[in-house]
Amino acid sequence: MLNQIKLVAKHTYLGRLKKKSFWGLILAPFLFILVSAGIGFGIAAMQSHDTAEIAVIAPANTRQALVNNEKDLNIKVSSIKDESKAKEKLNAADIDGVLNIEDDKGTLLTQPKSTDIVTDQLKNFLSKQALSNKAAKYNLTEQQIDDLKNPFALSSKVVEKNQKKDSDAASAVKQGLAFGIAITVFIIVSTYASIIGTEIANEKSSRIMETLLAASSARGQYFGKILGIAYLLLTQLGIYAALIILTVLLGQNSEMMQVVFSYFSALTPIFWLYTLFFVVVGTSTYLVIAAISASVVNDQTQISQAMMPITIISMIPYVVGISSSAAGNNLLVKILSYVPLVGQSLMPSQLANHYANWFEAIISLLLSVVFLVLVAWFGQRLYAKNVLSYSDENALKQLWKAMLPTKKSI
Amino acid sequence: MITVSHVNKSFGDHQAVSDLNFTIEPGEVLGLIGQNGAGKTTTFRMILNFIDADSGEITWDGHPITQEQKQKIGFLPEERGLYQKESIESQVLYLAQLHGMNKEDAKAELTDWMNKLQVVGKKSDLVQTLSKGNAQKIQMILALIFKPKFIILDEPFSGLDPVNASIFMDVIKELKKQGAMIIFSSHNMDNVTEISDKLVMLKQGHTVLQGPLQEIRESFGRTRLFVEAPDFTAADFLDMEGVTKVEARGAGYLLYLTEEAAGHAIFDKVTANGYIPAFSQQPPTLGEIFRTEVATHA
Repeated sequence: MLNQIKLVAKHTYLGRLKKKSFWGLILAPFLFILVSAGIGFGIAAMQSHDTAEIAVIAPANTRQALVNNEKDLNIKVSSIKDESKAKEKLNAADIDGVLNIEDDKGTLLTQPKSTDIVTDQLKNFLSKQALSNKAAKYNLTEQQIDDLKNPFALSSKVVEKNQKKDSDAASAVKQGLAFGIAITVFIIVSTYASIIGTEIANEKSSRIMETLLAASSARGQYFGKILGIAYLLLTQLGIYAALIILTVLLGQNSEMMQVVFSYFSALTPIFWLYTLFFVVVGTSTYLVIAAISASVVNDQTQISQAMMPITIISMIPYVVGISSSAAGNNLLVKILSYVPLVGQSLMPSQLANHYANWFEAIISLLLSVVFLVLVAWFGQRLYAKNVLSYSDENALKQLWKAMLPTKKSI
Repeated sequence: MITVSHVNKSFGDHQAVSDLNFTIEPGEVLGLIGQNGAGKTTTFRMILNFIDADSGEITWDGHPITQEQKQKIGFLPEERGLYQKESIESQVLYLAQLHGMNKEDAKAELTDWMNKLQVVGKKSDLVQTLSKGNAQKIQMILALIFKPKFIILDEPFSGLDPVNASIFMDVIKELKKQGAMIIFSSHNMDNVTEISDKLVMLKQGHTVLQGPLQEIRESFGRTRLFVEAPDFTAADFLDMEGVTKVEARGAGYLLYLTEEAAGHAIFDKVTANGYIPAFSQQPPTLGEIFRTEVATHA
């Protein structure tokens, strides 16, 4: 039996591994990143980088200060100093603006076609300039000027026993964890549920199932296929993990990698192991349900119909996970963190953000493991019952019928 | 020995198989015949434990068939199915291993079987490139490569030309000689007659005929008489007592008799003037019996 499960798993695994579609799946995230980066670069490259030309009508020192900081303010100070001439040029759209400064006040005139001017930045600069002018007027020392310029400092701190304060970056990573895991699980489930569905539908539609079941048991086929697809998932995750480790090793001394490290500094390897295991348990449960659902289909055309329950269920952790990244302390989120099929998307984030402790996290994981074992055990009977039946009925209706108890098992 | 004893199976209100009984000894070929929907495939599925019988017992050497024994059954299903995008070798080795065969042994056997069944193609060919007949041969190889002691063949000859059907029949005869227990279904009564030791005929799940082939035929009496007598015409034969129908067959005539005994008087008449080239009194063919039984139990 064990040998048969291994054979079926190997056949399923190698069969898929040899297909171009699997390698397309592996490369898809990289292609996505490349395409996104390409589009971003293209947009940035095509964006107008024109510098606004402004006529400055102001006291000489202010005007000179603006000239000295043209680059930072992204402006070009025009040589025009006469107000009426400047307005004339503005009306003719030869320049982008006229900045009139008098004492503490100033007016910036622009025309509709003017290149954008970052007014906040300009206002900040002029405020500081006015402050410096006033300080000079009142004969203040350098130290007094600096003191006046310093803004009020307010920092926030959460006091928690036995926990050191995260850096802002690490805190941001923790907040985003629920979001990231929810999306990852959703993508994995959508992809692999469809793969296992196609695998079983192929065998049913090509009518090879009787030949397979004569050579092995329905249980062997069922567990073997799930295991084969799980190997495939682990291969994909393994390739990504290897690439990440390689990148870290090669670039560990680079400045950029140090920034990345600071982001992930608050999450321990044990935490990542826990999260990975939980995600594998969670997605495996979805795979088991997908195998059960696929056993009722007659051919490829019914796959999407049979996969509908999985898609709907997988939407729950996706939606809750994304929402919980901003509201992790919510009671509903806390409860759902213990619910199998949902927990894997919520509990790691709860743990990372100290809304749950390790004991609670382990309980949640154990509940999911027990649920996986029960569903897998129950599923093998349904699989055996459905896999040789070909009905014209709606796939969902068949699935429902199959779940109802019958007098004799088939 | 395989024993099917008082087996019943129904699907809802439909009685698919009713009180079915038969045995198959080593080196014996059992032909399971019947119209479509008679219960043949259901019987095979129950033996293979794909579905449970409602009642009755199916045993191998007196014990219910275990999962391990089931793996040793060679099965050619009625619905042919192969992995279309896999090579011949890949899927034969996979299935052979599932049946418990060593991979290297299966590799060696595959070459022999492809030669024996005259498969046109290479081991590396994808199944989707094979003709229907060749794909069926691969399916037959899948059922037999691991040297099963018990073989179930559901419509093995359907879709085959006479030459390939003959190849399949030779293989079945060889397996029988080697001591395999074989049960098969077919709608081609000539093939059934050629290779079966005994028969079970099902009609709507009920057994209407059962026993050794020759005994079944004899039980209908020798009411078919082929005569080559140059001095006699069809009209002459039709006037004879006990003759119901006359058909021209080559150089002679086939006479349909009401009873076996009528043949004696006819023999005396046609040989009154001495030698005639042919006089052969036979029971009805299996095809005739099949048609009669289908009509009788309608």
